[in-house]
Amino acid sequence: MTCDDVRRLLHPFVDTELPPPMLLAVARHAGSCLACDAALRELTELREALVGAVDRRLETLDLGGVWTGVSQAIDRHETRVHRDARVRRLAVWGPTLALAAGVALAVGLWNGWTSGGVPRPGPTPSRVAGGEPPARVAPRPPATMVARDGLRNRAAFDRLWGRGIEVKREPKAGTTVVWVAHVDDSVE
Amino acid sequence: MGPSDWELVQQSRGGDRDAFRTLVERYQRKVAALALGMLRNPEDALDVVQDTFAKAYQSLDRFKGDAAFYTWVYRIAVNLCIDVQRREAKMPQVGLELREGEDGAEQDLPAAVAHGADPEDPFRRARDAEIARGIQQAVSELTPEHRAVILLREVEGLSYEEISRVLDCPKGTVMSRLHYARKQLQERLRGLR
Repeated sequence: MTCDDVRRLLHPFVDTELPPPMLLAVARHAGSCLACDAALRELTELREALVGAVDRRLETLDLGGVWTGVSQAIDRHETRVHRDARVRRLAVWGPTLALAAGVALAVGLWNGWTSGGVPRPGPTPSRVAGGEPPARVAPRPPATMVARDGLRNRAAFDRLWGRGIEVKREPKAGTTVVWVAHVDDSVE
Repeated sequence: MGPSDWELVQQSRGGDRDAFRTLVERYQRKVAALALGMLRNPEDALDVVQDTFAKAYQSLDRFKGDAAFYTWVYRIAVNLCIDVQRREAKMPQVGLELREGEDGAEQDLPAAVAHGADPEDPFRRARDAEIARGIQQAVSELTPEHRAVILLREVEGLSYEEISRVLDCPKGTVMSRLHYARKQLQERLRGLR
């Protein structure tokens, strides 16, 4: 093996990347050749200087807090991932829920409208320009069931019969109930 | 003997923080050495170490196990270092020389010399410190790719094959980059002697 051959193999030699027979051949040559041995030593010194410089700097570095920093970074990341997942879920379900709410509102309004529960828009009395104020309508009494304590006998019933007043006996209550179709003071 | 890297990765994937902590503590020094070699500022290096493992944890599902865990982590670290260097390159380098002066002789002294036969010899200390500073300066003048190759080989002791995986480049490229980087550093070293 010549010096030129060895020089080409010096780098893989110091990196132990050569197959064993070649490693041995280079080592034998360097052992007997001062120039190649010097070149080999130069490479080794370079490595030592590099490793030494990095090691010295490494000693000044406090690695005690690395895990704490990593752990906090992981926590931040997981919080962000969960938040993003919530936002994504909302992005998927949000429009659907909004649509459903809109439909429900529309159906509710329509039902209210058609059943008369919701007043139809129109001019209110105060808006009628120049008109008389609307007459106050007395509240109409509902069909009333009135109990009359004084109508306890048949004669009284007969007297009322035929006057547009229907008289019924309510046996279970033991009282007589007079059904009137309208309010009539003469009943009293 | 503790659990293998792969076992710890599997446990970490299941949410076991302690398993991942073991991985961090197993490799934080190696990653720190690489980051310190790649970056001048120790604070930046420390940030890169933390970011490397945080990113590794977030990407554990992507780790297939076909390569060693540490080569995968080195890959993340190298990429983060390159990002930091690119950011630094866009910023003015004010105060860099001052920092070097502060660290000075003590920090840049090679360990081999510091623990050598006569560490108290002031002339030798001064000369070796100068050599170390010179090498450090020369390393910082290499391209990030060349710097990564030389550090992964000389400091981390990775094989050509592993370096090619970390840097995602052919083995031949690793060899040529390594040759070039060594040549540059040797020239600087010769000038200092």
